[in-house]
Amino acid sequence: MSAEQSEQKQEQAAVEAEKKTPAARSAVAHPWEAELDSYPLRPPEEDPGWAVKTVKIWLWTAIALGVFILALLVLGYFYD
Amino acid sequence: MTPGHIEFPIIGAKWFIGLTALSHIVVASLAIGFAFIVTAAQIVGYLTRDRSCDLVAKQVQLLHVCVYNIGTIVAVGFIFGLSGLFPQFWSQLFVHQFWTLMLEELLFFMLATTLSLHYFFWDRLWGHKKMHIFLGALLTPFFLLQFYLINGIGSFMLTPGFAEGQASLSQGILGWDKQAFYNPSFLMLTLHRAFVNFSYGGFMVAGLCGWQLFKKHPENVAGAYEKAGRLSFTLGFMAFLTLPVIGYFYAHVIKYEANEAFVNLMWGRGDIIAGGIDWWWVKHLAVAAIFGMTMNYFWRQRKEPQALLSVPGIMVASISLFYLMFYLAMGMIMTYAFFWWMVFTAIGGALLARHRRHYHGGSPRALFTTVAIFSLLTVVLGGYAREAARPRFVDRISHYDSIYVPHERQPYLMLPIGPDEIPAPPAEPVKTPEPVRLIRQKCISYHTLERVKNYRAADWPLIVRQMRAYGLRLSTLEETMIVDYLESGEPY
Repeated sequence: MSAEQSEQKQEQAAVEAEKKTPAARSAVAHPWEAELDSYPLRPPEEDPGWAVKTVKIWLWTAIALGVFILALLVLGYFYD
Repeated sequence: MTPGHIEFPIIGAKWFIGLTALSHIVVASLAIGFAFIVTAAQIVGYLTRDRSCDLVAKQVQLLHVCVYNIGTIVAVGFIFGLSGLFPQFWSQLFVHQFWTLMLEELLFFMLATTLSLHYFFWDRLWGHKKMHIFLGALLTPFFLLQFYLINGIGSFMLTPGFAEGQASLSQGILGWDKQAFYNPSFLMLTLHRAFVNFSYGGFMVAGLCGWQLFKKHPENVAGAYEKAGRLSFTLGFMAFLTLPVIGYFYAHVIKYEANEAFVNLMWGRGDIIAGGIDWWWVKHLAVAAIFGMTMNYFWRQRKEPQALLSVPGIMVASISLFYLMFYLAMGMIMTYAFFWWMVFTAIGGALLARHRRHYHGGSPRALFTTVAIFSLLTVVLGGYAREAARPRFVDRISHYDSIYVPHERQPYLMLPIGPDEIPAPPAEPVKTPEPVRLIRQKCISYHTLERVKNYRAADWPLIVRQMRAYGLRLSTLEETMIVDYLESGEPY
């Protein structure tokens, strides 16, 4: 290996080492950095239908259960 | 303790329950606070179309999923402990509050499902953002409903209430019992815990943001953490401000409805003192320190151009004056040493916040993390004080052995009955002598006892041998016992 090749290799290793320092790594790779500029609202039809259906079914179920519990508490107050 | 109870190794049954209960409260309260802060951050993010609040909200909600799981599992350990270590107490309370606890279980299911869907569908519902925010917002009323129910039981143990509530302690009313549930301290406990949880959640989210600010992040990411931290810190502080007012009315109820607990708290009696330390005082020192630190924050904040999150200086001064009056009132009831300790601790907190802010180049990161730690401390110590101030419920329930505990007797907690009025257990019947038992058992297998009594012959050994020859099963020892007894002429 020539001296020139050896020098290039050392420089490359130094660059790699620099990349591995915590400061460099966090400054480059934070997943939020690209996301912070946008608030990605989109048309409702682009949401997966199964997810929307699941949440809607659960929302109505949860509201009904909540009303049921409240009704029990109110009735329990008056008709104990 | 009733003989035959299981004793938990090393720490004992009482401390096992204390540790699991406190561990549960620390994470369960955090879950309630997190739910509130996540919704607030999501709404602010949506209204301002600012992603930073939304991203922090999502990160907090992930933590919330973890915390919720841990809190629920610790609660199961707590219930297992109560069932095994204090079976009489727990079975009575569980039967008494059965339907309340069944609704509690239903709410656990509703919360777990809502929370899971809200976090895991976050990125799938950007087209239905309002619906997604509403789904998350449901968590807060469900949590409130859940501890509305559990507070009925918790407050019942402190102030069992009037008439039917008292009777239920001795008669074991099954299922729903309105008078016991809506007992005197129920409302104040519920309000106090609700606002404590919001405050705790706000300060803890701010603390997490502060912790992130210690790390090296890109500028816009650090800005997102700082903004979300300031928002949750302000919300936490607003909830924190309600606590002295609610606390005053709570103390008022306890004074008249659970005087022993009030005395224990105010003048350091009973289990409030542990290891020679009054933990109620320590809790208040932490509260005063939080107050001093937050006052310094908002005093500095008034000069900064952040209209949404700043508070006018006159309001900061007014709040300080209000707190001073609160501590003065506490000092009048307890001791003026309490007043001075709180004033100096609050000033110390304010100076510490000032120093840390300067030291960290104007960043609130150190302040946020310090307040979060103190907030955690107040929740732990507040939970301990609440439980330790109450005379031990397990000694007061209506099982026969401890119906009367003189040093804990309170008119509304006990049956109107003294030790002398407790009916004595029926006398045990005199034990039948063994030969008599043998004569009765063996002879009537073949004929009546009248026949034996009418027999006047003196040669009992021969007669008994004849009976054996006829088939009577009798050992030699039993034969000797029967013969000796019959020869003695004693009645049988």
